[in-house]
Amino acid sequence: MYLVLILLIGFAGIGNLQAQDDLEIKKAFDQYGEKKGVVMVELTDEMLDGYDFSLFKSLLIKDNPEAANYIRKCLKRDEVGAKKVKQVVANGVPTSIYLQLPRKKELYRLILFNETSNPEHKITLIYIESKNDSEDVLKLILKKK
Amino acid sequence: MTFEQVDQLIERYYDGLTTVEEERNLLKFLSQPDLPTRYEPEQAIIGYFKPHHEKQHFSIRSYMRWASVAAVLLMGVFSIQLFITDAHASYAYVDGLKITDMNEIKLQAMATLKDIPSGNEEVEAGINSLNNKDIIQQQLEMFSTFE
Repeated sequence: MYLVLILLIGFAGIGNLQAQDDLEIKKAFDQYGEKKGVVMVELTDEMLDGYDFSLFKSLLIKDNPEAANYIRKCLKRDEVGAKKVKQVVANGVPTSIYLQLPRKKELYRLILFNETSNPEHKITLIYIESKNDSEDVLKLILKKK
Repeated sequence: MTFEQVDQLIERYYDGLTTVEEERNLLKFLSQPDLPTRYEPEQAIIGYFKPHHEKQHFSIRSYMRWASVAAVLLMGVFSIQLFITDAHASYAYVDGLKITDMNEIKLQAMATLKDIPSGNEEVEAGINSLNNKDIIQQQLEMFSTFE
């Protein structure tokens, strides 16, 4: 009986895992998030300049081409089953990838990846969860620029 | 019961002739307060065999078991609460330093969103990324096919 009680507590804890925990890009956030030259942001259930995100997570890495390769490998796995909304390839290497992931419960999910070399090497990785349709979210992001 | 009847019952008791019901009645009589002193020996003897209410034995083992279950439950609830609180907290890390000021966090988030190029910019970036030397090389190769 005691074991049942302990198991119940355990399952209750497991039930709280976030929707992004099944994604490879989680490793990128874990690996680079707290390093020097990196900006990592996590916003939960906060209004952000008119955007209504349940979760906004971003990674900005400067001067680290290896990180870009690592993130591209993560995205290669995460794009399985996802819809590739946009991809830009330069010199045979994807520099921009926008993925629309399968929904997790009621949440729409997006991954946005961008790598620039001019004027400085910069990688941007964004993961968004929203109750709004991800196509609408993406249009809003691109339109607001 | 009269005292005579009790005396007779006591005699039968000593002779081992009383029934269960008779013994019960005798015990009930002898349990009364303020009986004549002559019944004190019988009270002592027959009272000795009176069924005692089972004392509730305090078992420290059982107590420890329930205490440990309660402790685990409390820890579990506390951990889940902590986890939930942490999972929902907004934050930013800049060069490894944690920021919890909401305005600063939102500023950083907006700055990141601005880095995502729009459609037109991508095309321009794609064209600009082509090496000029490559363009010249491609054009020369086109002419080299002519004989």
